[in-house]
Amino acid sequence: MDSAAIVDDAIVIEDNEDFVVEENSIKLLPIKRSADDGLNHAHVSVKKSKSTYNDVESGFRLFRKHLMRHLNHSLQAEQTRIFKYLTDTKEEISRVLKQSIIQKESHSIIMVGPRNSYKSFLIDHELRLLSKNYKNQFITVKLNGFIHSENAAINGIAAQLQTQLEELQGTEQTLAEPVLKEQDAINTDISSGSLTEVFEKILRLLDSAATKTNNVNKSNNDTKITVLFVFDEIDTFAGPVRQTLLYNLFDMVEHARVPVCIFGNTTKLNILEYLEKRVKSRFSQRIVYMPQLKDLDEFANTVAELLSPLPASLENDNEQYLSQWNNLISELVKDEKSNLFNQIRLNYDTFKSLATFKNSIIPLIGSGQNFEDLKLSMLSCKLIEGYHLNQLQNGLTSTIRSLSDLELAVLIAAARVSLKSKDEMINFNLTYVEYKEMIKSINAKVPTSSNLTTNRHLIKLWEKDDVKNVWETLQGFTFITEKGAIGIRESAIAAFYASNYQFHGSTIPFDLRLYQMQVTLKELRTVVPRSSMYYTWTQL
Amino acid sequence: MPSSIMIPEDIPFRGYQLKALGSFITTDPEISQSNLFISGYSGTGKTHVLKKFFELNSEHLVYAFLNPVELVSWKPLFQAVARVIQSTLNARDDSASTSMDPLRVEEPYHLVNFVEHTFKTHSTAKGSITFYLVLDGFDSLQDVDFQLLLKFLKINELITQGDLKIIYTVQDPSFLQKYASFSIPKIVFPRYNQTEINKVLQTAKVDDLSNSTVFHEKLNSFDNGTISTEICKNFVYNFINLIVQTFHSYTGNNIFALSDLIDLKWPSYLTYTNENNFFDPIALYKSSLPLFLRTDDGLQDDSLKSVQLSGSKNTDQTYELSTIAKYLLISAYFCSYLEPKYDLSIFSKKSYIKAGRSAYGRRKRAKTNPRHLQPSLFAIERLLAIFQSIFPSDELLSTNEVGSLSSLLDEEVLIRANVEVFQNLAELNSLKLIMTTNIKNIDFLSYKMKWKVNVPWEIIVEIADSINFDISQYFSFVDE
Repeated sequence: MDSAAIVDDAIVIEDNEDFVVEENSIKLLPIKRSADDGLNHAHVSVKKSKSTYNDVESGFRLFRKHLMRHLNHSLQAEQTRIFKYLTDTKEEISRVLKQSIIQKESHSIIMVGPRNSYKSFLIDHELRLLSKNYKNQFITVKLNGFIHSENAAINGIAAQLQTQLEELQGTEQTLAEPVLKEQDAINTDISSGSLTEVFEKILRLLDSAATKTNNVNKSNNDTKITVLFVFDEIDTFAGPVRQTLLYNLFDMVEHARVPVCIFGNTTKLNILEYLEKRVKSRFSQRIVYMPQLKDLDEFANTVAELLSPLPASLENDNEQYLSQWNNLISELVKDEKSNLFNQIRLNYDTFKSLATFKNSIIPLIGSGQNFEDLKLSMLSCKLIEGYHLNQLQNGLTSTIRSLSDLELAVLIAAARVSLKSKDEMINFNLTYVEYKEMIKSINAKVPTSSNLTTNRHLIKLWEKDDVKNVWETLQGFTFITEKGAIGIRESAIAAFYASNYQFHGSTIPFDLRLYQMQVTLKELRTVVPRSSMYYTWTQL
Repeated sequence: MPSSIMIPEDIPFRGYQLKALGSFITTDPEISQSNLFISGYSGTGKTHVLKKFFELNSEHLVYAFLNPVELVSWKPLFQAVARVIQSTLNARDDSASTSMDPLRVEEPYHLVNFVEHTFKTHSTAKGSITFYLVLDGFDSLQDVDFQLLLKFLKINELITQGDLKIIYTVQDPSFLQKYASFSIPKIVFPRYNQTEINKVLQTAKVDDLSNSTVFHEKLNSFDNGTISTEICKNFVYNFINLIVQTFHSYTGNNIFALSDLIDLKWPSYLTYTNENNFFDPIALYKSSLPLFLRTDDGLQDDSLKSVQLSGSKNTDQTYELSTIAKYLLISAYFCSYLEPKYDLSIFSKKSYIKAGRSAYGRRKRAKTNPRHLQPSLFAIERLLAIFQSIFPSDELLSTNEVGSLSSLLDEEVLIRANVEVFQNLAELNSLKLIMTTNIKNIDFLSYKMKWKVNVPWEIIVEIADSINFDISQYFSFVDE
């Protein structure tokens, strides 16, 4: 495989100019042009070259896939690399899980950490490891506070219990009639009765399953099935009213005959203050705070771990690539002048987030065509910069730069009106008057040598009806927002109430509605280029 | 052996975005992301690029598009997700016949069960299912709230059979900023600039316009087939260029607005075309200049407007209101925009029998034009008083001859607030031309009730013109 040919091809790393906003002057149309001459610029140049994705060497492709799976933590449990800074936490989770699954103790534990701090990942990882040897010893019930409401959670528990028990018993081929019947009965009227009644049914189901397996296994009475609850966003269940679900589950930890283990994941540091007194007293008070990366060195090392999969776990085909790659990464991370290290430092100073770094590295790896190519782009880190550049192209600054001259003029006029007024309120009428004055005084400064040429150098003053379109455009970009607007509502019920309410602003005429600016004149002055003819108008 | 993803290459200015899509979306569920944001304002090619991308890879990827804007609320959205997943999978292999009713999905967690069951029935053939769902315009769902997206972000974690990968396209970047801590990968589609938009419009519209029947009829009128298609395209190309250059500052980089303007002005541009200026773009531009001076995107006839501006009398009026209603509306406008303390000096005409000073009126000119601000509230009595003052006495039918004895008897040359006045007032209110303070549960008879006019200056001037009432003299206290 000729690597140079591939680099020359259409999809290469180098042609990343097209996500840089072109600021160069607009090519004016040569109108004076007889129609006979060739259409040399009518067509957009279309790259016709074939994609090279099918030509990627299979060994490299396997390596790339392995690397991507490593990045996404989707490798097999043994191959998954746990970051060094997480090992203590991992050990603790593993201990709790083993105590409850193997030794059949009941536990409850809440894990607290920001988003993307590997809470679910660690639990899943441990469960995958444990399911190798103790597959029949436990059932996992997963609930998510975003998706499950309190009532839905009860149904969700019942449904998940049923399917998993069926699986367990199906593998042991002991589907006895009475158990099935009981399950059916429970499932059909699971929604009837109070929550505690439903819980009783669930508990009875668990008990019967446990005894059933006991009879089959003919072992000692300890081998009950552990029920493991994993709650994501447990704070949504710890709402201000009742907390029945949590109360009953934590109560099961204390009193039930079945070993129950509850994992709660949350982002709230003060999760204990959410819990009611009776719920808190049943909770084991064990809270694990997810560790954070302490300094830049640790962060860099963790990024290196993120980028380098564990060795000696691949087929021989990829071994060469893998060791080369890992060496490259460790070298780059050690070298404080390397581009990669710069990117790491940048991330550490701003986001300090491994997930963000992962997102920026995926396009780099995904578009690597061969190993040399991938190595080069890793050395230059151009694509990581490109990713960050792309992320910013929707921001306020780049949106202001994408405005046409009339839109910019109206925006500046609105900012001027907002600065002049006491309560920073603007409306269309006032803005249009300001715009008119602006254009008039710009035009007055234009030297008029002769009367004939005046019109040609003047700036067009757009009519009020036309500027209305621009006004709505600015509204669409949320440079201006309606006074007292709330925007997106927190929950579905709030959105429902809002949709039934007729807002004052929608009943009054278009040009009298009150608006607020989202950019001030001072900020506009920093964004508008000095060469713009409206630059002088960016201050009062 | 996972089959590789193809990347469409004929989409200009979207090279990076396509490449990034190719990295984030793969046939292998283990190396592709379960959520992906596509962010970009309207008309930046998000849907186009996604459609092209999936069409090219339709052999290897199971996918479906869904438009939340048509679904209004969250429940129809969940049901539509269930429906589209089921129907797409059923269409792909007809072996699985068991189907669930998507309308049974009434809560987010029902969707989890539904998807899991559907994936299970279909996964038996060849491995588990990876389904790409594109929610095209997630934030344009009318009832969207903050928690809705969270539900979709986490659905994949609860599905044990197969994978549901969701791609969200979102217009408003501030919407995505609320979910920044989730670190979902995002691909931004920036706005085109003027050069780019020109090229995009050319590629999109040249064939359309040069093959239009209007154009061919025009060509046939002075040509007998000597003009090649290349020249035709060149002609269209020039036209698009002209439109973009003229109206770019009006539309900005809005591709839809420019495309509308092209369609709007193309037939009239052709009427200016003849065999002399077909080969001379400058002459054609000069002759069709009126097209490029105005946007013409109102629905009212602009020729009529220009007549009105030139001073001739405009016969058709904005509103077909009764005379009383028109005067009521004008007096309501006065009440809302003139200060009550100057009423006496403006509207008082009678001579006084008893001694007393009349009001002096405003001393200084106002700094800001009150007409640019919101209307202020007034009481109903003030409206009726001003109405009586401005309502012309000759509108009242007086059968008595001037100077006769009987005319001395009925001195009622001023209009009284009779039944019609109140009827008209109530009708103006129901037409939303006059508004009250609150909207719900209005008690018209309450003494607390305040009113305000709800009509802009442009309309009130037209109404005043139609009854020959010079309204602008009342606003001479502001500089115009």
